[in-house]
Amino acid sequence: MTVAGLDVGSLTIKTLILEDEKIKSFTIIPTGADVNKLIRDCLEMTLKKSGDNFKNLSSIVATGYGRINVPFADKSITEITCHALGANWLNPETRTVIDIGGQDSKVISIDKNGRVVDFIMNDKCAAGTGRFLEVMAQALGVKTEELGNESLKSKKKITISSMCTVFAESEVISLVAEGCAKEDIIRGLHKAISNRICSMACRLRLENIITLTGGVAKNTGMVQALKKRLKAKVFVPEEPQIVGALGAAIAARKIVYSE
Amino acid sequence: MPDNFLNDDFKSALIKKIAKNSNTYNIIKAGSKLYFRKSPESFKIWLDFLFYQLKEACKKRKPVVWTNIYTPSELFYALDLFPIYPEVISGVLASIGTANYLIETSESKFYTTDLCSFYRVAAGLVLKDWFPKPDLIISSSQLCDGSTKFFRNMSKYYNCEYYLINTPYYDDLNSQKYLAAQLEEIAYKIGKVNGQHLSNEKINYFFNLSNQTREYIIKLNEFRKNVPSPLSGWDAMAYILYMFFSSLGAKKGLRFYHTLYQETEEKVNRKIGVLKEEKHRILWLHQVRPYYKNEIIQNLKENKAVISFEEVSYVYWQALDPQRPWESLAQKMTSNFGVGPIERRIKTVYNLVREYKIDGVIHFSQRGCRQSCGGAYIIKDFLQEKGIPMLILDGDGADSRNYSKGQTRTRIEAFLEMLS
Ligand code: SF4
Repeated sequence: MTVAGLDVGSLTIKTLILEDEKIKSFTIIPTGADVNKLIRDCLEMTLKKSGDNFKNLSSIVATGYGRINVPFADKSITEITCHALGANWLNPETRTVIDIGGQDSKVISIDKNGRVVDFIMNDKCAAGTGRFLEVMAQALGVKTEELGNESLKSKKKITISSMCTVFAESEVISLVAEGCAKEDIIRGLHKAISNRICSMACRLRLENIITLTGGVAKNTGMVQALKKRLKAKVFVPEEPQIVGALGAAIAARKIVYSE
Repeated sequence: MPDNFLNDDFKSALIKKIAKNSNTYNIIKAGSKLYFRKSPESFKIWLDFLFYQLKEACKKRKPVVWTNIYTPSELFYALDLFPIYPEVISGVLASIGTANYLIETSESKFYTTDLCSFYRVAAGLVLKDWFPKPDLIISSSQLCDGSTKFFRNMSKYYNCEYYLINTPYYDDLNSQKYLAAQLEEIAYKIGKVNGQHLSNEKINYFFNLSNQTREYIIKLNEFRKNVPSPLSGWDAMAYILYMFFSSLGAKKGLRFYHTLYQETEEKVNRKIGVLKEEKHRILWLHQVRPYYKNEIIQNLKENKAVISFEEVSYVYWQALDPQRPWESLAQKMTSNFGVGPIERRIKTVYNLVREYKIDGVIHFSQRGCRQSCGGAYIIKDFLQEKGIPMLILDGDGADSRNYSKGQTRTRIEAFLEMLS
């Protein structure tokens, strides 16, 4: 049985094809103005990679912020449920999922079957999200994907006190003006975000293993900061950005089984 | 015609003229009767009551008193005063889309965004002079601390007398005595000014009206335990709530609840539910919900969830005793489960969960409201221990600038998926 999971996020679109127990292919592309077209393109690219075609798909589930804009999906399910399913599939020991996405971050408690027991999301501001890091990377003139490696070079501790994206940006700019090294500033930023995420996570019962998902989990510096702060067993999937799409595909499979 | 013929100042002056003219409400009332002719009778009674209140606030045949929701309305009716509830009016204004303009007005005059939006709307209303001035202000410190400062400010602004009823934290005899003395003193002072002597006859009459209304609310709440839910909590937190706070002790209040009770009885008998298929029964915590255009109820409906009950509609007080008017009113105030140690609220909430066969609880945390936000996690922990999931939904009741459609949808849907 071949199914597809689509994760329409605020910064990227992810599509994934699942055949039985195997991830056949996936694609990640940035979102843009014409989301509907981009979703189709993304799915087509993934189908092409796996050598499948649209008609062969037994079911399609959409998740993410733009999940309701996918007319051809059989169902839309929130990213909370999908990240839980995806993380459970990748590591059944997972009891907590921390997903740092483009526009929000969430902490999800799950049981051994991947069912959501409780969850918490950041409030409406961008602090502690992928977007926050993007803005800071721009202010520092560094590519977002380079933030992780840059921060690992850091030798000096710097504390970033603002968490508001606008205030933090000006704090970063003044630190640069003061001659602080970029890598130290980036490490400070990672630490500030991890503090924020952890204080949010502590409102739930944090249990091992903690699986990190979402684009920000690709940032090694961020992962290190989180590990240090969480003092817990942390699992980072090979491709953390597709966990939502994977969960959607697993949900699609469930739909077929239940029919 | 000058360019600025319809500029903001002109429009505001026009609204002021219209809003402060009592005839306006007669005209709107007639129009709305026609427009809402197919609505339930109870809704029409509410409209009638609302326009009657607004009209009387303009006409001032009786002294108009501004007050807040947990100050017992029976006191005002017995003293022949006309109560107006600015925070409730704010909810109505938010529902017709005028709140943000008033909020911006109040913010431009230094009202902080940290103040609950219901009072920022009310402050805007005052600053724009769109509402007739009060003759007197009487508010209680019960539950809402933002209101105390607001009313104090208003009394200065309008140069009118302000009585603050200080509600103690604990529900014991001392607190009741302390409160009863305050209520009696206020009644005495007002009586001296408006010449209204509070006779036993009057007390009997108004307390009786309130007690009869209370009986109907209790019976109505009993009906709401039915599956499927015969009445949506979303409506209960709108026009029904308006009556809950402001009509106890008024004849129209009794008529309203009697009618609503009959309408609900019919639905129960005919097994008509709010939803065709009811999958999740929700208990809503905190006394408000967003009143501006939003999609929360839609999100719930799509996922077959219904607000079966809301804590604010729970009748926590005993019937009033006309033989002991002040003690009795004081007791009504101190028995509010939202006041005092959080354990009291938790106990009530847990009882409601069981009685109304609740699957999940949504706690609406109003921005700027300490009463609603504080303690939410303690309740959540308790309920979770008992296996009842709870969602803490941060939001704003009157300021739509704080509402994010997508984010709210995700929270609600994820919560309902969790319940499935
Ligand atoms: S929401 Fe809270 S702060 Fe606002 S009026 Fe109600 S009790 Fe007061």
